[in-house]
Amino acid sequence: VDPDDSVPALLFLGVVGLSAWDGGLGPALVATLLGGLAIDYFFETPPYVLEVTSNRTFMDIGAFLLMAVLVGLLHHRLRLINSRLAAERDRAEAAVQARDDLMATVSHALRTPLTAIQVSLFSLCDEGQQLELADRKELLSGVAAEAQRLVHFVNDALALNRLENVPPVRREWNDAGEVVWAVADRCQPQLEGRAIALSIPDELPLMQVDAGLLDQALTALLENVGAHTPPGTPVWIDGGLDGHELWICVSDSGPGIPEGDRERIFEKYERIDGRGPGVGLGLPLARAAARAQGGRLWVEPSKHGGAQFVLRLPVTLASGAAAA
Amino acid sequence: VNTSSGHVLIVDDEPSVREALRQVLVGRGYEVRTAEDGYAALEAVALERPDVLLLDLRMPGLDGVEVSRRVRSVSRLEIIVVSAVTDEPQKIRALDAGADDYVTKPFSVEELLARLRSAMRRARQSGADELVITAGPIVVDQIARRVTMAGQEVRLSTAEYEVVRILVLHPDRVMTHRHLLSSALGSQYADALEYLRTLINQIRRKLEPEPRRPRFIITEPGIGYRLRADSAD
Repeated sequence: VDPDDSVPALLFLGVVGLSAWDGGLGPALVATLLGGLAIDYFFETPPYVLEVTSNRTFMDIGAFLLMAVLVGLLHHRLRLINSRLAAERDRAEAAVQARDDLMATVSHALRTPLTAIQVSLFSLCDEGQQLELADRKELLSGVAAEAQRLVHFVNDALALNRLENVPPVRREWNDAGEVVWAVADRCQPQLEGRAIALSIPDELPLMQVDAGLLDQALTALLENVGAHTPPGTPVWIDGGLDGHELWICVSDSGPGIPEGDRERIFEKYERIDGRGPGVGLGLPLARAAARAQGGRLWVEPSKHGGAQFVLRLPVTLASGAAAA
Repeated sequence: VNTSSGHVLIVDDEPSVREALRQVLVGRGYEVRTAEDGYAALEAVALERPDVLLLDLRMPGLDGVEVSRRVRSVSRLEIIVVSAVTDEPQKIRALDAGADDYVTKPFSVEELLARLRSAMRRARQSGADELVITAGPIVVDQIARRVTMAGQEVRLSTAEYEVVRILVLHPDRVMTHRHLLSSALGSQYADALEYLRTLINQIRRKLEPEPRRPRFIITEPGIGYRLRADSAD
């Protein structure tokens, strides 16, 4: 390149660099090609002829090319890093948002009963306030009920947290009917006198299943019935074996679950009717207990008019036991 | 000389829990001592000879499982472990190691008192030396190796008899599968869970009015069995 030529050469080099910076490798290569041809056409002797006559022209074009590739690659890298950073930032922001939402819900779930307890205790301890014995008793039983609510919440939250992180699955030989009967019997207080119609074949073979997790799932389902169906309505528990799957259905004749809410009810802290003593951890806990041992849990309309929760768990059957 | 409802040792590293429990139990007429860790607990067991040990599982230093093991190797006093929901495996290990019962923290006071009453009953009448042991309507004659239910003889196989005998010896106590199997049939059977299910099933058919809804031999899912001595409730 003659000293006179260095100006246009630098100019084109700049254009190539800019195209590479802005557009990436592709546009940079196009700019290189056009720039090379233009220099050859306009400035190389003989001018206005598209013909490579000197090694210098080759070198010019080579330099452009190298420049274009380097800048283009650099640009490509930066862009990749940038998009990765943006994705990370979005994820982090979403996580922070989710955590904030969770904290808000959890602190609400904790603060409500704590406030009630605090206020009641203030009245009870306030010496200036002359309380009737009946009032004192009422305040105290309120405190006890709220404390019980807190206990339930903390227990569920801890159990759920454990199931979601490191579910300790202990598959052992169990009589599924025995477990279901034991849970149903134990849950009678939560069912508040609702009749339980339990039907599980007596002759089910022994199967390897985590009875503790099955217990957790069933308990949560029965507590859910107790909290969300009208008092005095019955609950049906049916079960059996379908190939190598144990199925258990818990159905009621309550209000049922609208179609649009049938997944949402398994989300943490979701409460579709806003009623009941819970805070929306029971059903997520039941599903986590099912999933921890490879099972499924969903809800569908019950033939009794309400909701039917279907639990299906893969099991290993005792050798020689034929799957019915 | 001793007119108290019994002597309880509370072991918990949390002072507020210790104090609250002490208040409740003193109010119910128990004689109460407290210990803040496992070593203090072992010392108090040796010196004070409590009837019942109320033992927190999660403590710094010597944990509840280890305390259960060491206490059980020298004493037959009743051990109730107090565990959190997240301590399930430790709870089962403590029961395997010789603890008699458990309550899950946070627990209701009524539940704790009920468990404590059962434990006191057992502490007062440790029946291993008695020839005839009784739990509600179930009577086990250890000489004749005969079991009667409300006066009617129940014919049991040798293995069934041993399981019933161990359960009746420890009324209202949670027997883990391993503990029940090794006490009744020998340690080589400790893991024979399939066999245990079959035995329990057969025993219930012979002993329970409604085998599927047992009133006496209660299933603790994933843990073991408990003989309910007073099935009135």
